[in-house]
Amino acid sequence: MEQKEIIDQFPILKRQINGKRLVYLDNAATTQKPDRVIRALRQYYEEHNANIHRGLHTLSNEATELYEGAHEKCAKFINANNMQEVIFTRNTTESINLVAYAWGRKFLKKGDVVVITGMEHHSNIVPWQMLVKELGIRLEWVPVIDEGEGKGHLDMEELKRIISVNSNHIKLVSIVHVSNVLGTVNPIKDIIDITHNAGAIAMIDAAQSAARIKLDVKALDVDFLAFSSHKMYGPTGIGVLYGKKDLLESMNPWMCGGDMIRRVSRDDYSLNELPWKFEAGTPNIADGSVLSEAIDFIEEVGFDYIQKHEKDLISYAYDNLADIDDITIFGPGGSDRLGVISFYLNGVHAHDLATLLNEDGVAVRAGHHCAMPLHLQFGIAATARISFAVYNTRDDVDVFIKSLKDAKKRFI
Amino acid sequence: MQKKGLYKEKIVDHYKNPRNYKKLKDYDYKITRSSATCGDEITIFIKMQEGLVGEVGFQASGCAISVAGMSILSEKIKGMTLTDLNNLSEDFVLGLLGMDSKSPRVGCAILSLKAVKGAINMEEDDPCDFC
Ligand SMILES: Cc1ncc(COP(=O)(O)O)c(C=O)c1O
Repeated sequence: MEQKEIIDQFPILKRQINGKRLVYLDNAATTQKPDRVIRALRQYYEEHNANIHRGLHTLSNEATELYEGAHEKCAKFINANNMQEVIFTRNTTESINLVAYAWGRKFLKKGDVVVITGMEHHSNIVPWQMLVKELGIRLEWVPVIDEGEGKGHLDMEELKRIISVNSNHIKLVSIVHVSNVLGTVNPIKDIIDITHNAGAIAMIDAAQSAARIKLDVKALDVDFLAFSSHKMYGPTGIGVLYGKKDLLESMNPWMCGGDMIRRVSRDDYSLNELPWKFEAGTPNIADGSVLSEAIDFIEEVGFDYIQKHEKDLISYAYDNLADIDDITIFGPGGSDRLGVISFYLNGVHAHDLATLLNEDGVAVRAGHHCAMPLHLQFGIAATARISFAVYNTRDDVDVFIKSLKDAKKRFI
Repeated sequence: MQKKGLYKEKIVDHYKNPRNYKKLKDYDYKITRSSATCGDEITIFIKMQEGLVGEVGFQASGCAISVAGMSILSEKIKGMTLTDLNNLSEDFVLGLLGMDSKSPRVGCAILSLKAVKGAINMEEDDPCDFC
């Protein structure tokens, strides 16, 4: 596929912002949507809308087929056995919370240890902190290396030490695959193996990797995996939780009502089968169904192309940024990361920088990116972040770098 | 210097050379206020003289809008009574900065106002963890 053919599929890229061409570099927050996703949403409401699993009429059957079909497609996408292992949630955050509620509250007790890392998104921190307060579990943090060799990577020796010191108490290791601040790609296969050897289970936050790296839950042997449709060219309002079937079966539902039960009498109820046991109430049928289109888009472009293209952009942007005086870049080197570059321009607050870039049509994120603990480690409140998707180009990087240099001239 | 957008010359000037940027040793009111989302932090000192604001000093770390906002406001509030200060509106502060109330940066702009009101009403400090 030609780059232009990809760009042409994203109508929003034709927008002007402050009289300039939109240069959208906030893809780690959410990606833009290709035409086929937008059209499929419209088509769903125009042609198939009905409630699922509860009608005998044609529309209900069609809607059920579309919604279940998206579960099946998603199962294939991550190489799960089948859709029983694929629960649709609202987003990554809800997927992780589901595990904290439905698995954590059932199987964790006082003194048990959950291991996370210093580069987690708040969504993989706070649910566990709640269990610290509620159940008295302990939270152990694998540190991120600050400087020198391994900068921006997890301290794997420390991970092993934490696991061996706490070996009898470790129940879960939950880590991010690709950091939304550092761009670090964590060695999740190694970490999952270490976790299993310690008799614990592993969860991966794949929010930033699902649209960039082929995920294979069988090859990884991962127990839980979470990601968001809206960060992989799909609609907002849908997240995915993959779980191994035996684990999901051992858990209680976390919300109760329609669709999650098989039958209800005045005295009792019986639970529905997976994955519906965890999808109580009328789900987000439209967006869930349309996740299929996003997956088709990714597979048609192909992970090989996506990675090659985004890696080129990342190295190009990294080298150009590193050339500017007074810039601090956080995380690993330019050829050793995926997706994002967070940086700080000395003398210009990240929020001012983001506003100035916006005046030139360039959309970047500024703040703590929902990773306050990591920013406490950096010692600054707010960094600026650029993040790429498959429709970005070197030209986008050039516009960004020029605007950044202009901002610097005005402020310093 | 260009005059487009949010960063008018006045704002950049007050950011680079903030007025009243000093600690006061002798003050009646002092508070530290921050906005966690931005990591902007302002500490303000107010000394009253015969019921009116006499001297103002502040220290800040943050973005241009919050620092310039505090600098400009610190000049305006001299000579005001406590009632005047309590009656200051967000629109007044936005007006000083030439900002629209729909700007995503309103929070930065009115941190100064929150600091002033918080100080004279003896509210608690709310420092920024990062600063
Ligand atoms: C690494 C990571 N984890 C989790 C999340 C949370 O995703 P969502 O907001 O879709 O729940 C994000 C997105 O901001 C992320 O980048």
